[in-house]
Amino acid sequence: MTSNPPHGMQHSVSVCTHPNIKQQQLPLLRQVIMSKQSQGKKRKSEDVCAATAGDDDGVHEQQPITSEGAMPQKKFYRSRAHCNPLSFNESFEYPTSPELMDWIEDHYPEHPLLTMTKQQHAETETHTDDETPSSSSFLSSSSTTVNIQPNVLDIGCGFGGLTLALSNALPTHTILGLEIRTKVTEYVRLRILAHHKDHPNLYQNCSVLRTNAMKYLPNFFRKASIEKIFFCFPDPHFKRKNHPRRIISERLLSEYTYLLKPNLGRLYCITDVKDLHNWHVEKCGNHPLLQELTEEEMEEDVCVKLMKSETEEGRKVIREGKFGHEMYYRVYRRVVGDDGDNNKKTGEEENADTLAKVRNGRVGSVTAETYFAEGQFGVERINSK
Amino acid sequence: MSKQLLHTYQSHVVIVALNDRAFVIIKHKDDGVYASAASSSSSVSNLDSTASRAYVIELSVEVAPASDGNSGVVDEGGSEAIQKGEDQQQQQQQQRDANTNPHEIQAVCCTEIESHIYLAVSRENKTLALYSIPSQEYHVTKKFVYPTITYNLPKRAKCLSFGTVPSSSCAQSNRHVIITGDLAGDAIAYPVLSTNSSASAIPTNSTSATATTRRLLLGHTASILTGLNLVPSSNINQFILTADRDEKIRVSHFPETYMIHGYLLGHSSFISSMDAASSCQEDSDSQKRTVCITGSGDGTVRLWDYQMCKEVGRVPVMMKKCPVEENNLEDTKMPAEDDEEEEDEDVIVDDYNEEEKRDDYEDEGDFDEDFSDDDQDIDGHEIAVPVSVALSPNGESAVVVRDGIPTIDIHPIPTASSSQPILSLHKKITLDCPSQPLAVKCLGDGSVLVLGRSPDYLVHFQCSSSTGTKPADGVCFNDASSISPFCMALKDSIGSDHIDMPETTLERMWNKTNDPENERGEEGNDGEEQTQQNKKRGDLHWNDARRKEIDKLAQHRRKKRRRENRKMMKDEEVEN
Repeated sequence: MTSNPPHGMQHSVSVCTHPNIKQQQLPLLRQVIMSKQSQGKKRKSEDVCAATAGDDDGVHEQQPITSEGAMPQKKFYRSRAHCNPLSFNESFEYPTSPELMDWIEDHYPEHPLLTMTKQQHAETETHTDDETPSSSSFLSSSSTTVNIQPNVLDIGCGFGGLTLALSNALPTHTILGLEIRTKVTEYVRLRILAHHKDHPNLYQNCSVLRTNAMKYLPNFFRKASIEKIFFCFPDPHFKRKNHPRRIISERLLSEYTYLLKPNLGRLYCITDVKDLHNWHVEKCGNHPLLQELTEEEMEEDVCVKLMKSETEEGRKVIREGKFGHEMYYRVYRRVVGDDGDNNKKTGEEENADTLAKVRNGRVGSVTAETYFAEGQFGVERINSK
Repeated sequence: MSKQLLHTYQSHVVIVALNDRAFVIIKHKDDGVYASAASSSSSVSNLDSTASRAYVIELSVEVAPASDGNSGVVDEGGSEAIQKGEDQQQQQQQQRDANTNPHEIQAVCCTEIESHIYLAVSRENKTLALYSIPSQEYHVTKKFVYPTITYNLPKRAKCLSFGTVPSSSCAQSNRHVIITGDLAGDAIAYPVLSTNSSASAIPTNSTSATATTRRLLLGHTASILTGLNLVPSSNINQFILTADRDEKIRVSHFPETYMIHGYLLGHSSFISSMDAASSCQEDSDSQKRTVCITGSGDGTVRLWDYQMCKEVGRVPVMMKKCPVEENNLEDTKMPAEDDEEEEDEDVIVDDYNEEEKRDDYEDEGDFDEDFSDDDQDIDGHEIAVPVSVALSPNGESAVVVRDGIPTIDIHPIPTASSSQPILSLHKKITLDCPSQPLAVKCLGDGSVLVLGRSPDYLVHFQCSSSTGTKPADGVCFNDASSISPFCMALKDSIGSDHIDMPETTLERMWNKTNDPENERGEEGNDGEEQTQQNKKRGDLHWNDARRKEIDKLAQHRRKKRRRENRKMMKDEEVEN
């Protein structure tokens, strides 16, 4: 069905979400989606599409729901809102390590930084006739390769409102939306392509990826490579037993802070559920590597406004307000956590005393005395019977 | 997925788990190294058996009958929702209880701190028992030792490690903890209460000493931890290495475990075993080597430098013959390097054709790997998963035990060369073991301890290089079990008891149709193996028919119980 995964990638994937997907593969894509959705679902519009996708002979006879370049319609891409990311059964494709991931070819073929480099090459070299997206090979052989890596992540991007808005607002950054649901990812992909067509030379720095952010983030991104992470209106998972499924948790915050650049990195979270907001504030506040931004700093940040107004959920809150019309948000900065290696001063004796002094001065230092004290990160009280 | 059944501390403390009995073997430290500092030819006869004796103490399961303030079972109060979850778990547990022993040991660990020997044993019933023996008194203690404290864990713990949280002021008030890696993917630290210090070291406002706290260090989401090691980093700081089922090894700072140093990525299947040097080693260049070794379900054993987060060495995949299922074909990765290695493999493979009984290697139980980029398909062969790996304390050789192959391999690790970024550790010495080895560990003096099945539970290999410097290629290892104080003491203490040891420490799919020959050590963990492979094949693990049936039955039972409860409550109301 899909071509063999490129070298270095693991796991076959049932759905290919690369923007350069060929036309023929789209109907098969829908077929896969339909077979999963048609189990127990009552939506008729999808079944209509399933009927047309049902017959296999003649791939060319079927018309895709949305042709590339046309704006997709949401009604064909509705998907169940809640899912359990811990046991999501569809197989994902992920690289063994971040170095093996090629972002240019699959996601950002016309990234503005790439075109700038291409122009520079055009000036310096005599003939540069590669204008096709596969010029990545050409670029990689040159010495001034631009390494395109996403540095803004929209985790749980939904139908892509914020991703596209950020792409416009931050033209020099590389935006990536992460979504776990197949249909919704497909919608976002088509929406981005439609924008490419309608607004040439714009929106070239954003893309979408279908993956499980709770499991595979370290496979895709390197240490300290992300500048902004957005968590917009995540699934509240109200029941206490579902709390481990929340996207912000102590365990995952360590991973997010690993990915964020020290001092530059910011973590944005917004929700309309007060309970979930308190949870966010508690978890992020407890984490030693995250520092809350002040009100003024939050107002200055243009992304905060975008978060409120450009997301689908944000607009719904303003319109309907299922939990009230109030949106709660917080922004956190990733502070510099001394890695310990910076402490090694040449010539200075490293005995236990000096190390202890240095350690106490570090952010979020953990010492024996306070190790099990209440309030320390991760400490839990076990009560006797 | 393997259990940590053997653990050693330096050269004199060994803790070994035999099914559900745990033994600690302590050798008298002052004996010096036996049989290796031999200037005469016959080193064996020079030994006086009474001089290098080892003492065996069994670690008991039960709590001491006279409960003082410090000992006891620490429970966690759960809310309603968690209680219900536990009920359901208990039902499933009872279903499996027929085949599993709740006291079966999952992991053991030992250390010596401040003249006390601390031991930890984690069992199938989700308990963690801590024992403490004063170092000077081990030969006068009785044969049984009771736990000082038993913690109830939220999930089974498959790997354990002792750790020390340095104090801000002086080294005397360092906090010692035992860290468990459990099946929820979490690493949790529990305090180690030393018997002489009072419980006031832990801030409790209640007078009852059974209230205590634990600390969640880190978590691998939606995974299980299969390896946990505390290692030194390049300066005095420490790292904690955690390996999980999703091919990742996370290197985090310790004790600041919220700060991740990096990930060791490269394996293509779950990590089955991990080892690292637990104390600072310095080699000839006075560069501290920061290496760890991991074995994985993809068949490779890799050597990593965790400071730089890079792979530095690899042991090629070894195949073994699988006689049962012919349709159990999978792609395999043959080593790209030597031709002579291929010959070796063929030879090895043919040897085990007849000998091993493979009835329990069913279709779904095997770890067939799906190397999508491979073309070769070798009939009837499958990857021999390394179930246990060990690194020698001077970082010079790696020992590998593979599933289903009754020998151990010792690979010398060459010095790093700039020509080959990833060393190929294909050179090896193969040592025969009298029984299927289950776990391997290196002692502080460079010798190798192997945990096997009965009757010789413990096998001790001694390196016979007399100079004690780097072993050349011609170094040979001898089976020194007959003179090893550890082996002899253990045999003496077990006596004529026959302890059933599992065939392998890997967890396999629990199959009801298993014939009674199969060991009790093999039981599925809610079909995790199934999930792992089905994930690779793209199947849904809840399409598994048997699981659906069990779920249906459980649901029926739950509904029935609820109905009955409601009826009972209504009847009571009517009566009142």
